Order: sequence, then structure tokens, then C-alpha cells
Amino acid sequence: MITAGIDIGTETTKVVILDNNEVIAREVLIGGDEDAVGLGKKALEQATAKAGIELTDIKNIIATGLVGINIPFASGQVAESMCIARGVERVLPSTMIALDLGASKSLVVKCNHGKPIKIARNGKCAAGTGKYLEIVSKLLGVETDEMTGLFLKSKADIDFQSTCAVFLESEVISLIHMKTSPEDIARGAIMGLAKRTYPLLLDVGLEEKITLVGGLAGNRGIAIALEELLGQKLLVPPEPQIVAALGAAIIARERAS
Amino acid sequence: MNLIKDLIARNQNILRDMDEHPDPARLRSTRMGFEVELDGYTELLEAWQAGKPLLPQFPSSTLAKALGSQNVIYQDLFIFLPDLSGVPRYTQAVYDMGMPAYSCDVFTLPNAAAIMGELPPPSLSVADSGGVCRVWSYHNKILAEHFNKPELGSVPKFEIDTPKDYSEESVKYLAGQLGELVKFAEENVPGLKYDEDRHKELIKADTKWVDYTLKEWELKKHIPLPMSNMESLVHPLHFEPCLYSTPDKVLDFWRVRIEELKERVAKGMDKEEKLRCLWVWPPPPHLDVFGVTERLKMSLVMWGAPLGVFSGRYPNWGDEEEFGRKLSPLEEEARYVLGEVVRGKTWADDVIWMCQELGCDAIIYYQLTGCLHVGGLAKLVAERAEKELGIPTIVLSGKTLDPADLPPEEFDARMTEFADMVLARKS
Repeated sequence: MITAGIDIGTETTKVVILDNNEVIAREVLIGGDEDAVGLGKKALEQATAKAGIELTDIKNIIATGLVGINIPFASGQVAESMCIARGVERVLPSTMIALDLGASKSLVVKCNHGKPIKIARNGKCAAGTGKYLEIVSKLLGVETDEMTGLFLKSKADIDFQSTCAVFLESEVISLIHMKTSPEDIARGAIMGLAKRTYPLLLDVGLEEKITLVGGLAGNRGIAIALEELLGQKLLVPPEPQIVAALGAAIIARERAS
Repeated sequence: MNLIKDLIARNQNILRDMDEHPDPARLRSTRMGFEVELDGYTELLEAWQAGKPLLPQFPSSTLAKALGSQNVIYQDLFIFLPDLSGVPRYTQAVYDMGMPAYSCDVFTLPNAAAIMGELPPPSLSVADSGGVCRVWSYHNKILAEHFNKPELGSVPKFEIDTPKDYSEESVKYLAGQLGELVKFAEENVPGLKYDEDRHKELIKADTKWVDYTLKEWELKKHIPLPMSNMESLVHPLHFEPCLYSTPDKVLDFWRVRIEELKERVAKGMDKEEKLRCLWVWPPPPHLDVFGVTERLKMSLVMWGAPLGVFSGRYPNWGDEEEFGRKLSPLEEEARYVLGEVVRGKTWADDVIWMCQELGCDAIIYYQLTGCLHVGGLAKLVAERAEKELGIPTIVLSGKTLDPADLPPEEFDARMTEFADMVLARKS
């Protein structure tokens, strides 16, 4: 049985196609939520092409991600926390907590056998999300991916005073004017993001096995910063960005059976 | 605009709809409740149009009645408005009048409507220094200042000093303050005269009312909940007998309601209840709270708010055990008012206790934007619920009347996610 999961984020759309239990295609399409349905369809078509199948071969499609958007070609929408719990159980079954960091969200899911048992999220606050890093990287004139390189070369800790992403910009401009090195600013920003995420982990109760997923999971600097704060290593699966879409595809298979 | 006329039309439409589309799952008493409301709105409109004295936001409905007037709770009227399209207009009026905008919209918007003449004006304004809720006290002061202006009728105002603690001394002190209020009302508002015998009768009616709510409290422990969520979240205060001109009719509503619930519990019900939750703070009318929770097979056992008297946690009217003596009518009033004062730790204690008593699986904490005193307690309650009862809490943030902060689709998605999670924990 072939099923698919679509995860629509604010900056990327992800699709995973499963043939029974085997991943036969995955697709990550860059694009915002302006045309979520169009992007979802495009990502799905590209994934089916990669898998060498037709859309009609897919028995069931489940969508997740942005709320309030009706995906007409999906049979249903499932909460992100559920999809992440399922997906992370498949890629790293020892996971006790999944930490999903994306462009506009930080979501912590305490899991038990593929089910979420506690959830904490950033709500409407952008601090602790990719947006926070994006603000700083733009001011430094670098891509967000390059922030890790700067972070690793940093020589000093800067504690950002602003807990709010809205005031962050003026604080970074002041630091730049004070000739603070870009490396130290990058470290301050990445540590700031980690510090905003930390209370969410405390909310669900810390555990030994924490897995980082989502669009920012590939950012090594963030993983290092979090490990510093937590005093423990984080687990990062090979394709952290598609974990929610994978979970959605698994749920699609469960529901179709 | 006349919001009382809108409410009359709303209830007429609801009653007509009930007759045209009978629902066997609905309690018969629910129809009686809408009739009571309709009578209340009609009498209020007549009193307003006839220029009779009205005492909105008065500390107590029984005292207002004992003075020969009627209490009107602006917030209670506003929350049932059939059409919330006026919200932006009232919000703008709040800014224009210089009232605090970042405050509970359940208070700011009705006050604006009252000042604009769309709700009945007070014949006497009463502000208190720290009553049931600080926002209530704060906004009543603002209302009193506005209506005291010549252009709004130079309405006399009175301020009560409400003690912050609960003790026999505080009860006596507040009773003294209420005595001063009675004298002031008689001297400054034509047509008001305090009748102590009438006051005692009204307190007896309120005692019966609380007795009924205590019976309902016990019946709500039954699984499944023997009523719909909409019927369950009727707050006892909304059907306080003395809030209406016909207290006997209100008591009849309660009597029939309890009889029906007993019958349902005795016979058993064919109703699936997957989850049992306490809903904290008013269910906002801009969200389909009842539709979503019924779809999730989630029973909402209670609207967790100051409910000390109605749950048996605090003494009922007429109780002589607490202070070892019979209280005077004004002392009874003072005890009732002080019993409902919301204090941080007491609030959290009460919410946890309610969950325990009613067997809740989870708490839905609607953190009302601008609620100065319990808004910030969401995290405390959530932590205690997890630690002491092992149950989770979802904290939703938004206003009561304005959907901007929490759109319906987000509410639906978050509630669905939460329900799935709670069920996963239970299994």
C-alpha cells in the first residue's frame, strides 16, 4: 500500500511517500504559505515522479503543518505533534522528547511509543524560532547556514538583553556599532535561541534522549548550543526536516488499513 | 442601537427555533432558562424606558432588590449578544474615552456600550476597592467617574472599601460599608427604600438557589455528564433568582433542571464521553466551543470560576456554623461577596480541587487577554494539575469577544491535538 504525508510549513513544504513501511520518495520544496495548496500539490507531484508512480497509486494522504488550510487532495489533517511523535519513533525509536525547530515555531513533544504525551510550544513568540536567527543573519550580511561557522569561531559570550525578537534588531545594530565581532554576535544569537527553547523542554520535563528535528535541526550551531545548556548530547536523525511528513505518511497508512 | 432589544430578539429567535426543531437530547429546563432570560430582558427594557431606578454592577442582586431596584450585570448581557459585529466600534470607543484598552474586553466593551447609551445607565454607581475581581473593581470606578459627569447625568457614586482577606472581622466591616451604601442610595436616588424583611425573603430564595446548585454539583460527577456542554457551562450566577423580577420562576427552572438530571442519572444515558475537562474562564462566544468539544466527545463539567458557594466549598447563605451565630442580612451579603473574592493561591487551590472532585482528565485554561489576576495563573495551575493530579492543561490565549488573538481554525486544531494527547496518556 502506498501512502503519503505532506507537511506544510511557513517556508518549506515536505512530502514523504511510503510503500508499506519503506520510504520510496521524499521532497522538500522551498516556498511560503501564500499558496500552500499549490505548493503541496507540486511537492507531491515531484515526489511521485521520483518514486516512479502516479498520484492515483497513493491510497491515502495525510496533511500536517499549518492550520486553517484545507488541503483538498488529503483525506485529513493531523496535528503536528502526532506526526512528529510517529515519525521520530520510526527514525529514532529511543527518542523520549522530540524538539522541532522551524522557521516560525518551536515545538516540544514528549513521546511514548509514537504518541505525544506532553506538548509545549512557543505560541506566537518568534524568539526560539528560525525567524530569530534570520533577523540576526540579515544584519550580519550572511546566510542563516553560515551562522554556525561564525558561532564556532566565537571568542566571547554575549548575553542578549532582548528576550523578544521584535527588539532584537535594535540590539544587534547597537552591538555592530560597538564593533562587536560577527562571530560573537552569531554565538549570542544562537545561544539566545537555545535559551528561549530551554523553558519549553523544562515544561514537558527533561529526559535523556532528546531528538532534534525540523528545518533548523541541520544547523550544527543550534545543536551545540542546546547541548551546552542541557549538558547532554542531542540525537539528530539523518533527514530531520522530513520527520513530520514521514509521521503523516505513517498515520495515512494506519488509517487506510 | 439598543442592545437590550437585540437580546430580546435573540431569545425570541432561540425559543422559536426550539419549537420548530425540538431536540430530545436537550433538557426541558433549558427552554425555561431562555424564557426566564427573555422575561428579564423585557422587564429591564420596560424599567429603562419608564425611567425606573436601575443599579447596574451593584455588589449584590439581593441588596438591589431589597432597595426596590434591579441589578444589571453588563458583562452578563454582553456575552450573550447575538451579533458581535459592534466589537470594533466599542473598541474604538474605549480608546476614544481614554479607558484602558489592554484590559479584559468583557469589562471594557460593555462599559463603553453603557456610556454610549446602548445599555441601561445606572441610577447609582458603586465602585469597590477590591471585590470579586480587580478588573471589575477597576472598571466600575471608571464607569462611576464617567457617569458622574454632568453630560451623563451626574449619577451619584459611592465607593466601598472591600477587605482583601476573609474573616469575621472583614465580614462585619464590609457589612458596615454596605449599610452606608444603603443610606446613601436612599438619600440620593428617588424611589429607593431599603426593606429588611424583603431582604430576608430574598436571601431565602438565594439559599434555595444555592441548594439546587449543590445538587447539580453532585450530579455532574456522573459519567457520562448528564447534559450537553452548553447546558453544563451555564454559570450559576447567570440564573441567580434575584437577578430577575420573578425569583420564583428562576427557582422553578432550577427545580426542573435538577429533576431532569436526576432522572437521566437514574436511567443511564446513551452518550459517549471520552474525556472530562474543566473549562476555566468564560467560553468565548466567537469560538465554537460546544461544537468542537462535542465532536471530540469531551465533556465540559464546569466553568471554573469563583464557585466556592456553588460547590459547597464555602458556606451557603444562612449558615450559622461558621461564625457560631446567625448573621444579619447585611452580614450575609458581606460574607457572600467576600467568599467570591478571587485571590491567587485560593483560585489555584479551587481549580485543582474542582478537578479532583469532578474527576477531570484535563484542564482547558482560556487565558483571557487582559485578565490581571487569573490570567497569569495559567502556568501555576498547569504545573499543580500535572504534579498533584497527573493531568495536563492546555492554555489558550485570547479575548472573549474579539476573535483576533485566537481564530476558530487554530482553536479547533489545538483542541483536537490536545484531545489526542490526553487520550494517548489515558490509554
